[in-house]
This record gives sequence, structure tokens and C-alpha cells, in this order.
Amino acid sequence: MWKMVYGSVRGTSHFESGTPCQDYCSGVGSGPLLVAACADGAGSAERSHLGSRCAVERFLEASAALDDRIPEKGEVEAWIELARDRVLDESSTQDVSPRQLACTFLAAIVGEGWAAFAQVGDGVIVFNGDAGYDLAFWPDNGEYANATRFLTDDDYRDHLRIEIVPRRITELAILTDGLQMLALDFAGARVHDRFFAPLFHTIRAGPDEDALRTSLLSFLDSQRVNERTDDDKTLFLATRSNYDVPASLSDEPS
Amino acid sequence: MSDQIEYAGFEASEFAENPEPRVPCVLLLDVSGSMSGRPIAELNDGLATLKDTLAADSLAGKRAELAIVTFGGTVNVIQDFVTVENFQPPHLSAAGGTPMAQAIITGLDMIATRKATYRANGISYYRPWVFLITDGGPDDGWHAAAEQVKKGEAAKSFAFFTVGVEGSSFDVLTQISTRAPVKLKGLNFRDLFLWLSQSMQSVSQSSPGDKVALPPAGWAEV
Repeated sequence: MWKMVYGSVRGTSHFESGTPCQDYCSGVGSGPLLVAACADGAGSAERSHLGSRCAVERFLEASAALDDRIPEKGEVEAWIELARDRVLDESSTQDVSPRQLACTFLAAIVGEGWAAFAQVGDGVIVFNGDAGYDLAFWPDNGEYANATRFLTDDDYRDHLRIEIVPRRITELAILTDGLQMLALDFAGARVHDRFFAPLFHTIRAGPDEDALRTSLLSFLDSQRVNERTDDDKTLFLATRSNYDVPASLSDEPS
Repeated sequence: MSDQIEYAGFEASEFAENPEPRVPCVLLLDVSGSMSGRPIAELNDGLATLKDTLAADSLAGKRAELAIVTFGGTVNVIQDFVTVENFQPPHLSAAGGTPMAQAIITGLDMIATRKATYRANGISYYRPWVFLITDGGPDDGWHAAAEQVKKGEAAKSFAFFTVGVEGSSFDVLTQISTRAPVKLKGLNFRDLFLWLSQSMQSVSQSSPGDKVALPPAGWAEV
């Protein structure tokens, strides 16, 4: 069982320029299995908020077929391609170029004793490791701070990173680049543990998911966060319940 | 919000202290003899305007970095990259020939070194800008420098702009940079540097995927 709390908040610069929040995020927990995806729409792309939403929702639909077995790398690639196809379809429907729906893409699928991660572009997937927190991939910004890779890019496959981790993960976070400067130690090229530990602690110790979501959203829109970033920000947090029983003894559908 | 009193909550999260991403810009300034008198005075005023305008913007003040290479008789690095907060506008005087090509190569080397420093310190950065400002043309062999500019532009290693005042060798400037040279209206260095500071401000606030729209250049002759 997973406890999931997530949300996206419009950046202060988007508020000023009247652009909508272009991030989108969602997750589904089913017994020991958790599937989550987040996307960050390109600031320069007029309808990238639609791109983010299409990609995330299609990925969750596509990967729903998985039961608790480690997916093949090729399967994950196929789901991402389905997500991308949905974005391209939407751009045809809207009669704009795919570039207008450009977004980054981050996904995690966590099973009982394994996890699969996929990412195109920047943003971070973080999970608990043996000592502190690990990240799936260092964010791909290209050389410059205002450049990244998008799911809609023709050569997105060259920048798609997939990793399958064959061990049990009990804490998962996904965030978009608006929070990168707070959550990563760039000089050390590592996760800033003190950003994540209180977040996971709060999820475990806090009330139900709805109440936690309200305080997560107010945290994301707090002055303390906004002083450090003017971009849209998304945070997905999930902890595996302490009351998990081994799959062989569980009566939950697996 | 009484929930938040019972446990520390999300606010207990501590943020990593990362350096601000940098927007580097190197100015290659012609201080050859022909710039004497009003041109050099206007150029000096323009540099002071650049500092004041950038410093007035809190984000650009931390993110924009300036360096200055002059060419007049000799090539001098009179300012290596510093953030605007630490930039003191110089007082330039004009004399000598126009070793522009050597100044270009010096400036491009400084960019390569600066990028290596950023990378070594985990500092992210935007594409560097080079601004060449002249009232003449190179009196040293410029083909090698032009080649290096073209290669760097093709690899997106930097963006190279040339600005000439009336009487500059625009035919040579055209061959040095892949971007068309811009002709300065009279000696309007002040507006040129105002534009540069506004452009650096917009870049320093851009997010991934943003194609930065630069403000219209009112200082250029159309």
C-alpha cells in the first residue's frame, strides 16, 4: 500500500505573465504497485500545459496493464512512445506543431522488490537508498541553464533514459525543474537529503492524503519556496505503508 | 491549518544552497586612436549605465557576469568575469592600432576557461554572449579569428554580436560573425548598453525551453 501526496503550483513568473501552470502530475497505487508520472511543459510553448497532461495520463493508462512483475526496458519504452503519440495527436487536433505542446517527462513504476524509472529532460526522481537518497538520473539540461530535452523532440529517444532497479523501494519523490535548485546539491552532484527527509516524514506522520495535499500546495506556494524559484513546481511524494506484508501472504490483488 | 502544529510538516524541509546560474557576457571594446574624444567618453558613460541598470535588478545583479577586453595598440583583459555586484565600470582611454582579431581570440579563450570553472563548481549557466564594439576594422589577420567565431556559433558555444559605429568596416564585420553586424545610431552607446542590460535581465529570468525574446534594439540604425 502506498500513501501518495502530490500537486503542481504555478510559478510566480507564470502568474505575472498570465501563463497557466504547465506542469502536470498524477499517480496510481494498487496494492504494492505504484505508477507515477510528471511532466513540465516548455515555457515557450503556448499549449505545453496540454502536452504535459496528455503525456502523463496516457502513460498511466498504458502502464496499467502491468501486474507485479519487473517490466522489460522495451515495455517502458513502448508506454512512453504511446504517451508521446497522444501528445502528437493532440497537437494535430489543436492544429499546431508538436513543439507547441513540448514537455519533459518523468515516470516511476515501483513494485514489491523492484522499480523502473524513465526520464526525458530535466526534473528529478528520488528514492531511498542504502545511505540517504538516490536519484535515478541527473537532470538533462544540455549545456545551458535554459535548455532541456522534450518528449516531443524528434530525437527524444537519444535522450530517453531508463533504469530498472532490482531492490525494494519504500520512498519515492518526483519533482520538476522548478524545485531542482532546492532539492539537489549541484556542486556535489547529489541529492540534498535534508530537503527530502522531512517531506517523507511528514507524509508518514501526517493526516490523510487530502489534508496533506492542502499543506503540500501551500508549502509549494510559500514565500520561502518562491524566493528561490519563479518557475512552475511539482512535487510527487509517496511512501510505502509500514504495514506491508510479503506478497506471498498478502490477500490484496497482485 | 491546526494539523501543521502537531508535526513539523513540509516546512521543516531544508533547501540546498546552490549558486545562482550565470549569464556571462564578454565585451570586446575598440579603444584604438580613432576612438579618442567623444566616442571614448560616450563608451565610458555607456559602461556605467550598464553597471547601474544591471545592479538595479536583484536577479540580474547576481546572475549576470561581465568581462572586458580592450584593443587599442595592444590587447588587454581589463576585467575578467565578475558578477555585476563586483563590477566597477572602467575609465578607458583611446590610443594605437586595432588588433581586433587577437582580442576576439582572447575573449573566446576566456569564455572556454569560464565555462570550465562553472562546471568544476557545479554552477549552471546560460549561453555566453560576446559583444564586439568597434569604429574601424581589424589591422591584424582576422581569418583565423573569424573561423573560430563561426565554429563556436555553429556549436552554440556562444552568441557573437558585432556593433559598428559609422565608418566601421562592415564588410569585414559581416565576415567575422555569422550574425549581421549592427550599425550604431551616432554614438548612442548608452542605449546600446541599456538594451544589453535588459536582454541580460530577460535571459537571466528564463526557464528551460524559453526562447528568449530580446527587446527591440532602439539604438541600431535600420
